[in-house]
Amino acid sequence: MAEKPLFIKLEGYNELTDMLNMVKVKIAEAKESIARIDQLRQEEEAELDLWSNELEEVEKKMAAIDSDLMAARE
Amino acid sequence: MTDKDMFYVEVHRPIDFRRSLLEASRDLLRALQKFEDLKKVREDKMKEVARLKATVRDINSLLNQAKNHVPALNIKLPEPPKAEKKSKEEKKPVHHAKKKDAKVNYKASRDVTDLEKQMKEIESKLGSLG
Repeated sequence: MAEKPLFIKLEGYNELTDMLNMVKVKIAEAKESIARIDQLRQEEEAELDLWSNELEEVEKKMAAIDSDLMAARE
Repeated sequence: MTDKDMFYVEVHRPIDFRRSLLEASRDLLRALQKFEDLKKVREDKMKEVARLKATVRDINSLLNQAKNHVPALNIKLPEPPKAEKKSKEEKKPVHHAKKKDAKVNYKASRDVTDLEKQMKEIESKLGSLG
């Protein structure tokens, strides 16, 4: 059975369309925010990797210093 | 410090040793700088998340306002003959929900429970449409 057409009376039609346009704008804003958050998340990961690499370098240098001092003790 | 704690260590390559110490200090300072950068990125991310939350709240509020502009419809669909009793039982809470809906002030409802309520209401309406 085919659906019958339905007509509804809309009071404040212009107001409603304005609202829906506003919703579209807000959705675009939300999308931009999500893209920015994603970008920041990637930056955060990159920063963490750099930080981890720096600490590894320090660890290596400390190991070299440590071995020099320990060798003297032995 | 007692004399027992004193220990003379011969450093075979003093320049290398000193270099290693200085480089370790420098790398540690760099790591601290990186940590500050990381903190800034995290702060920016938190701000952006807060902005996103506000935007989603605005969207929700606008949609609720828009919903109030559209008249409530009572579409009665023909019920399937077998599941007559069950569908009546299922429909009852839908009517209760509709009565409750009229009382709900959508502008003020922003917490999770209200959102869940709205979600259930929309789902029940969708369900009644078939």
